[in-house]
Amino acid sequence: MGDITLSKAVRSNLLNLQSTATQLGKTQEKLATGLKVNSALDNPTNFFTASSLNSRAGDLGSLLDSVSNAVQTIAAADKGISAITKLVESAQATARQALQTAATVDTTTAAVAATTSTSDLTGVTISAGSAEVLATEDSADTSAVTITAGAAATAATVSGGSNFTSVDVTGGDKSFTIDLGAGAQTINLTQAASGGDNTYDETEIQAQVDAALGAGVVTVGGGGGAAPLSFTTVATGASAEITLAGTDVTDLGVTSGATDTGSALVAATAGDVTINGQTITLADGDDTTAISNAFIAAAAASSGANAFTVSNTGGVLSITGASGNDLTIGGDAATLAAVGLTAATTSNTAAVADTTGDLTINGQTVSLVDGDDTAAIVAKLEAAATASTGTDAFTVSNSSGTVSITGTDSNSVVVGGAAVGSLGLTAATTAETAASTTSSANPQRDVLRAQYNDLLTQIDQLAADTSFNGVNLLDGDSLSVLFNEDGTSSLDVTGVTFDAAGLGLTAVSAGGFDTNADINSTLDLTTAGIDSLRSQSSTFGSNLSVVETRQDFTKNIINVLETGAANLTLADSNEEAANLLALQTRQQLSSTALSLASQADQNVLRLF
Amino acid sequence: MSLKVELKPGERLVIGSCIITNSDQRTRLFIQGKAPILREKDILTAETADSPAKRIYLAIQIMYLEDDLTTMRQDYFKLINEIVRAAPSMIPIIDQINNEILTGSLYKALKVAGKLIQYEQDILANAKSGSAGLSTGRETDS
Repeated sequence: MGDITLSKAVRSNLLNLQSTATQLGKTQEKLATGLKVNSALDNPTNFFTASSLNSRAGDLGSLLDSVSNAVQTIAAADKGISAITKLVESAQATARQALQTAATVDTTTAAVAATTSTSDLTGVTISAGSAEVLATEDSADTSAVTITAGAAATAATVSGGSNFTSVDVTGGDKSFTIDLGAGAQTINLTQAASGGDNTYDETEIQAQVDAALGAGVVTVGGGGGAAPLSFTTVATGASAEITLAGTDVTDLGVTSGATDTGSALVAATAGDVTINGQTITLADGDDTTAISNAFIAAAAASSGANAFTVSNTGGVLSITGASGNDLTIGGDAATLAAVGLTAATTSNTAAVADTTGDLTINGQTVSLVDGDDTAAIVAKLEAAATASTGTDAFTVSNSSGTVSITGTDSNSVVVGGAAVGSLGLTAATTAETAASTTSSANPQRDVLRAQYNDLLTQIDQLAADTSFNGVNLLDGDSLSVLFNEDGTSSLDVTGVTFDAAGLGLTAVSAGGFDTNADINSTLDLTTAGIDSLRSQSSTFGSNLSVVETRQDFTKNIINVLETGAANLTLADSNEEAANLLALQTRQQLSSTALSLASQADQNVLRLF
Repeated sequence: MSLKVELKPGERLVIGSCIITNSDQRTRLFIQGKAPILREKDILTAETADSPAKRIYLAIQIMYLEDDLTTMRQDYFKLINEIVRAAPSMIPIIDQINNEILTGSLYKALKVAGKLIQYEQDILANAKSGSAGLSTGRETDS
């Protein structure tokens, strides 16, 4: 086919048809969607303006959320303040109630009768007393005593006067007697048989003595031409005696009738005497003076609990334990016996006080005599009580040995006299304890004080609980509310500390409600607290209204933006002009114009 | 930082709730402080505010002079919503005004409202000069 040749008119008609068709298409699209600006291509300015308006609305929307939170926080703080105000008023009421209760209560104690008591008299016996007797030991009279080392018993001996050799009996028999105390006994010296020895030497004489007296009774010694002949008893002691006599005794060189007695054994008395640890040594030959000096020296050397004294009276030594010390005597038995002491320990006898005497109870005399036992003493006291009358009347009662003396009714008990101490009493006047009334703080006030303190604790807890979203305006936290995205418009709400201490209210210590003056000063504190609460409440209130105003304003702006963004895509300037003219007319008749006019009239504009 | 105001003879100036009328000499004043200040030429009254945009200006002016957003708030938003429904293309300017009010700079808001009045007059002038019927101005032919 060839080209279709178009005429000018056909071509221009075709172009017109094409453009009309395009316009139709567009109009149909617009009719279908109702939007004049469907895409950025239709009207770029309006499209992008609309998007930016929408996003701005979104930003303001999120800002609005934080503003709402701020509103809630301030509202919570405001509620907290009202609750705390109620608590403080309640505390005030409690304090006022305390003011109206009596400050003190009186407690009366009854009178107590005058009474005094003896000590425990069980086993007590009145005694006239006795002095202390010190421990004492007396020796024997030492005037004639001499200490001796002792001596052994000796035998009796008779000796001749000259050296003896032998006696010759050639001329006839000779004899002599030996008397040992039981009678003379004859000792014969007979001639020997013819041709025998007729001399008797000391040995032969011994043989003859033994034959006559028995062997081992008398010993013949000496002789031999060198010494005299001696006749000695074998027995020793004072009972040993020998007397030589007889016709021919002189031939023996012994004087007739020569006699001797043995000496007795002398016991030794030398040794030690110990007194309270002091050793006194008595030696052989010590006479009464030496003995006395030794004892006195020992006494002087003694001291302390072992001290003792010694005194010599006519040879008798008195040993006394000083100051009531015990006396312990010991030592060698013979020495002790020599001075007449015995080994022993003696103690002193303590003094006994004299508890006899008179005592008076309310004028009644009670006489205590030596020998009164517990029962007797009690009986005497009871008798005195029975005898007492009138304002001097008293009673006694015995409780296991302790006797109480009580004045009857309101009588006093007057105890005196020398013997008061004997019963454990003292000379004194005991009066009745009068009935008394004491004032003490009213416990009711203390109960109210505790209630007041409890209320303060509740205030502390409430202040701590008044938080919203973690911010507590009553606990010192502050709040900053932003009203636009770049932070140039904001409001700072400063928090306060409104626990009990922050309000100036402190717990009242014990006794703090006892005086009216103290309660009144506490009441002043609560009044000041309520004033702070009220002023802070009004501050929060005005903060709240500012925030709420801004909140409403922001909401309205968002509304405008969103409406505007939607409407922007429907913009048409001719339409707008027509709309504006119509609006102008409408507004003249609307209430808005009237409202504007009235507002303008109220301020400076009315002067124009 | 003080504000310098030059007054022509007989010109008036509002400061806070007072009107200062100049004498018959040119005067220069230096003003410091926080009170709202408006020149006579910047002032609209209820009689002179006869168009939607001017009424908005008047509302902002009242808010500025009284330093109080709350009294005019409802009326102001009613005006805003009406104008935005009538002429959506004003929204950017409206948004700017609102922003200034929100940050508390009411004087700047007033200035922007002045621009709004100007913009409104442009639209109305456009309408007067434009033809009745479908607009062909915006669509572009493919």
